[in-house]
Amino acid sequence: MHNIQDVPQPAPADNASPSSVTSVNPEFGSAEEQPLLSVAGLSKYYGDRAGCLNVSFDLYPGEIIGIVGESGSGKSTLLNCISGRLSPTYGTVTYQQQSKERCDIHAAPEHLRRMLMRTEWGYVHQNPRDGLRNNVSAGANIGERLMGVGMRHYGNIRSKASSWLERVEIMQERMDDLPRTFSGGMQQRLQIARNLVSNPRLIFMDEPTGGLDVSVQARLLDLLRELVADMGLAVVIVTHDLAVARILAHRLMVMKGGVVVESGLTDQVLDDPHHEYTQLLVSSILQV
Amino acid sequence: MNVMIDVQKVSKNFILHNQNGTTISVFNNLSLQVHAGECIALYGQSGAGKSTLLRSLYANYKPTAGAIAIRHGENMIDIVSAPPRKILEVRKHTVGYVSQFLQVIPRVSALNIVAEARKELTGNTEEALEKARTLLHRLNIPERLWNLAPATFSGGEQQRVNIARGFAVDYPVLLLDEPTASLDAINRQIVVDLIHEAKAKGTAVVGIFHDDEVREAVADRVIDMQSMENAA
Amino acid sequence: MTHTTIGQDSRQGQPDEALLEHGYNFAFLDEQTKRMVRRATLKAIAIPGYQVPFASREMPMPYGWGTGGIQLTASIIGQQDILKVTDQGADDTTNAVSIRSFFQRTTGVSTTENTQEATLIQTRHRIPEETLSKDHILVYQVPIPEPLRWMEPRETETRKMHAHEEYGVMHVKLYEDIAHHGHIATSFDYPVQIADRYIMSPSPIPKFDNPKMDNCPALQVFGAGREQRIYAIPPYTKVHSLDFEDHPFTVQSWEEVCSLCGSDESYLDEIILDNEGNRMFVCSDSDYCRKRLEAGHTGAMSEQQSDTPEVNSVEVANA
Repeated sequence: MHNIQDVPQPAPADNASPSSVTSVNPEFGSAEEQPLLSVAGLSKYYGDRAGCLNVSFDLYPGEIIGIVGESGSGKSTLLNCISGRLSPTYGTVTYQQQSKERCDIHAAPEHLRRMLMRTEWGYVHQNPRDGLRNNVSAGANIGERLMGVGMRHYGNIRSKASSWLERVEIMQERMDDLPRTFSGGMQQRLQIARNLVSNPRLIFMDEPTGGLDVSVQARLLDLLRELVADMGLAVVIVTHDLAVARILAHRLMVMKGGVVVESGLTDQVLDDPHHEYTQLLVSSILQV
Repeated sequence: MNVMIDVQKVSKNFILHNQNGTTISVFNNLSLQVHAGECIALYGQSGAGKSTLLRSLYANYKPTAGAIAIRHGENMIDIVSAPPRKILEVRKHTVGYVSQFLQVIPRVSALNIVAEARKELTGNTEEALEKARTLLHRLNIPERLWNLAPATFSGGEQQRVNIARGFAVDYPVLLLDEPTASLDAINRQIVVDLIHEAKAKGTAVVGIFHDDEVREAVADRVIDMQSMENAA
Repeated sequence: MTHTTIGQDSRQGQPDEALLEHGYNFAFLDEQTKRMVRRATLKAIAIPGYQVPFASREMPMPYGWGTGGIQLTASIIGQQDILKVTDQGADDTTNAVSIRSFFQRTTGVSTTENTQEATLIQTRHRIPEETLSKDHILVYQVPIPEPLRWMEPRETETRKMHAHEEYGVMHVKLYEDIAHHGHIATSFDYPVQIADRYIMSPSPIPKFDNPKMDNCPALQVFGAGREQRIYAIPPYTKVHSLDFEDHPFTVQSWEEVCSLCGSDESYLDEIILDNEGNRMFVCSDSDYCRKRLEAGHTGAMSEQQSDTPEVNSVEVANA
């Protein structure tokens, strides 16, 4: 058993401690909203080594949080724990379902977790091959979630798939082609459509622009920005690219060695970084 | 008159961890109030902390000590301690910021950049686009450029798109960082007019104006950052 | 008991005792193994459509020859049973003859080609045309028992999908068919849902036979030897062939009728007659076809046949 006392507890330079001035304003009225996702004291140990350590945050509907940090900083471990793909050693992840019922993701029965993953949640992998069904057509890839929730009208499934192809800017005549005949950018857009077709509320993204050319990245980013805003999605996005984080995320968590060293409003963290590591990260960006 | 911005004993240091922990103190114990319909010009030489203060008012920089209360609807919100969600809400409804440089987002057209904040606030896309067209037209951006992404625009064009963006929403608080820096005389005057109109609607304006003429035309009070420093 | 068999196999006319090989346990398998298989079979009947793992034994024939079905038959068969073995509808192909002979030699039970006379029918790739009764047990030979395998290669994952009833991918497969062919082109091993719960592979029978499984009075058991799975459909169980609302399940139909017996209701095999491309269609179920001929039905080519139709001569085309 790990003794949590042995591990130096981080004191994250949190840019945003709870306000004392904040009060409920009926005019703007979002103060009473419940968090969609609450992460509390999440730690994941691999043997004696902590993959991520004592991470806590709340995510509200429509909010986009970026997790940044270099390779090995624990951001992927954290994402996997939050999304229920990996069991944390300590801590809880609570999700408020569409039905308003709250569930502890890791204590919930497996079927609920799996059901959420293909209905209310989405997961966009860095490599689209990991997120697509590669032996069936683009249309079938998009239609899968619909069929998974019991849609049994071929014509309706097809027209829905077709409108989603259009939304992610893939020509409709490619609908019956296999994903492997698509370019990397198209595959990534297809993966996004496949996730969004079920009208999810929460999307996890692991370096969604990772393997793409810069020009293709820009197009994808813009598309993501639009879709996320239109659908009011909450997003947890892991990226090492601070430019991507700046464009997409409302707020950031900076990770180093499994610990969140700084968090806060995206532009505040990037323009006025307090932690040594964040300053190093920000100053390491090559200026073009 | 309503106090829109209440800066209370604010200090700002930068600690450069990667440069041997050098500490740069920009200002100390600075206090300031801005009322509705008032325009304050921040004045001082380069490095005096004008931009740092302005950015702190937008919560882009986080002061080391003190509080910055902004009137948000019926409440005063301390944006130094407010959580990110609250700050985003304050920015959406209350505080507008025109920076020196336009942040270009790939593939988004000038028209949409200008309309975006208003669209998000009101939910009325068509009305927001109409407002954007009016402003772009007024700021003499040729119509053929409206549907292009501004990455390829000249410095002056980008700056005017940026100004249109800031004025597209009638923010109760407007922060302007050298809005006329790369503008010709005609467009400078248009910006001055826009500021006057905003003030008339009760907007509290805080700005940095390198151009003496513009500053004299719009400012009700000039705050000398050096003297503020000394006063502290 | 006395029982007459019909057919070309001369050995079948002889007393069964003469064929019995001594030195083997009844039905080849030892009693413990048969018990184990019966336990798995009972579990399979209790959970209709669920694939029950069992410790499949090495049999004195290769996998793919129906070792799953043979182990089931061996565990179920008793002295009083009358066994029919059919392969793609025919009782006289190599596979059917070998399996029948195997059980004759290890059990001494009576065998038949007559569907109505049989109590136990082991089949490969067909369900007999004649309506089965509650006195029948139908044993299917199954090569690949997992209907989700085509979409999901991981066994750990398919088991979870069955457990949580996550069957969306089965429709993805049918969707692909329609997208590429304009209709559901799957015509064999067409997936079914049993009692509104488990999705099951009916083994490679033509979808023409799928409706016969629904509400069938006979017990249907399925054995996959290599994959070590047994599953079952208890008598009178709902069997639904998957489809879309706007692309409902249909069975194959032919413009032709059987050239021998003239049947327009049976599953037909197409047989190439010569290098000129002449062809004929005949019933795939040889027992059904012969009975119709005996009852006086005729088809376009039945005059050319001798009194006992040589259905056998054309079975090569079935393989």
